[in-house]
Amino acid sequence: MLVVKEIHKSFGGVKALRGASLKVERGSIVGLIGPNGSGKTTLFNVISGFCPKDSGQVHFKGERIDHLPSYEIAMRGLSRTFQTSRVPRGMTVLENMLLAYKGQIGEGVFGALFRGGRTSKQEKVNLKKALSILELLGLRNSRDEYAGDLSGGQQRLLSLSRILASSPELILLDEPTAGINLTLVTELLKLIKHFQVEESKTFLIVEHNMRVISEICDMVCVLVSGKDIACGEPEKIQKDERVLKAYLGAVQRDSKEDLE
Amino acid sequence: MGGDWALFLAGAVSLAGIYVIYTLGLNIQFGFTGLANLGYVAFFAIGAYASVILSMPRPGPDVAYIVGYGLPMWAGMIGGSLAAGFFALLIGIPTLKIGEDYFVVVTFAFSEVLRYVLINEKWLTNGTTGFYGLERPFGKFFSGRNYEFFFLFLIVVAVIIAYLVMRKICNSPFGRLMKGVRENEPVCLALGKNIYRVKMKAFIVGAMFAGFAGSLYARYTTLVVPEMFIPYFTFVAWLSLMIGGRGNNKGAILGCFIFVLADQFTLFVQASAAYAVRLASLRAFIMGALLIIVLRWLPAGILKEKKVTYR
Repeated sequence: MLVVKEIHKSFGGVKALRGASLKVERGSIVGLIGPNGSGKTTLFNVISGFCPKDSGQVHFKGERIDHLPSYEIAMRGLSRTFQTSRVPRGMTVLENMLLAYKGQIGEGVFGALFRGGRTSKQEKVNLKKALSILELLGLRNSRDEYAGDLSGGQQRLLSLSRILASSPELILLDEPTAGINLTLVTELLKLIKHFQVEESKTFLIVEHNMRVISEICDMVCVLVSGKDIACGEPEKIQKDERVLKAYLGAVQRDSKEDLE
Repeated sequence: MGGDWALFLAGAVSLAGIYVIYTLGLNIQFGFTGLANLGYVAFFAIGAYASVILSMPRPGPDVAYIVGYGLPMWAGMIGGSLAAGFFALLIGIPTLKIGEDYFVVVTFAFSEVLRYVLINEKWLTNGTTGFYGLERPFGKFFSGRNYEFFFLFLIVVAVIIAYLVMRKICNSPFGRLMKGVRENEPVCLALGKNIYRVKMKAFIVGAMFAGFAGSLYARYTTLVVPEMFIPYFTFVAWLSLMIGGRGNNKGAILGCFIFVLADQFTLFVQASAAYAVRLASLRAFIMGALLIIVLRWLPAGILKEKKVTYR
């Protein structure tokens, strides 16, 4: 479904990505791991069109998308969340949700002024869908609260609900469990699994938490210094020598720095 | 004497009404979409000039200007509004994509450049003399005093229509989208929204409101000269909006009336000629103080943005 080929990206002198490649099959959950600064988020930004690549290709559903603007990529069914949960703070939870739906007639000036009937019909349908998603993610009681007033964890859940409302086929999640307590993490994993199985969504997840990775991912890719060094099933990856070296090497260096 | 008061009041409320239409346009640009247009007066000026030029009699041998289309007044007003929208499109193309700071600078520069164009392009604008003694809508049907009240009536009708149109736009999914762009652009992009187009639409609609207000203002003052369109007029809208409440159309209305009240109240004070000048300069002081007080205790304005709920 998603094929990423040999992506290169530099910021000034820093080579964030040096030929990163990646494959995501339809209906799977793929984890993307790697030490800090290995280029995971940059790769996300390149795939979703938020950051232009230097070279390389991104194919989505068989079409090249690496030249498209980010909103165009999202329209084709590839949506993402952000590492720091971003929410339109001055809008309520429901406004956030209703913003997400695609193809709204009332989102143009002409439609807003002259297509009132069809707009309100659409709004009703979307409202119903939005409420059921909120129900599922436990946000229904906060429907009229400002998104900025929600707790950090709830904001993360809202980001996820909003993305789900926009009915994407492939969802890129950037550290979905960061800052969320353990019970909620379990809930969240169940939900992701649910959307994979019931609604045949595909996920690509950046995650540090190995428990999350081994629990839900079908495949794991390891990114080190901007290059993918291994891809495979979680059990295999955990035993892969190159991966262990990259991770343990990083750990050793870290502890040394701590001592100094 | 009582008649004079009524006349004064009719004039003041008419002015406030024109400001309301003007400020509603800034509200959709800044209040809803977050576009900090510091050259907002430019679109007011374009509306005023375009409407006048379109409906001026065709030039004869004894006039300095060489453009006049002799259209009916209402057509001139629509034309003024469209012209303002068109210029917004031109300004928006290079500025809306590159970021807020540039937008602020370019809009401000545009309003200043435009004023010099109005002064210097005499063939089109008649230079610093401008156009004066303009005809007023339905002017021939009313005698002098009565006309002020009739004009007030026209303005009230215009304000009601403008308010209803704006309310419809802002309460729609488009209104929600504008707020989304204001609050968080990356989120909107990730949801597949073309935020450039949203900004452009809001910018053009706002400019058209300013243009329409400008065309009314030209008929209110019965003249247009470049000096009317100094940056002060940009801040008329900004001040009204910040005091009344940004993102709230009712706030824009309230703000305009407060502004006109604070602006005109010095006229009520009996003063000698020497003091009258000082009183006039006191106005700016009062405006500033009012703004500071409101922003200190009601940072979102007197009428906050309304929470939207769905049932």
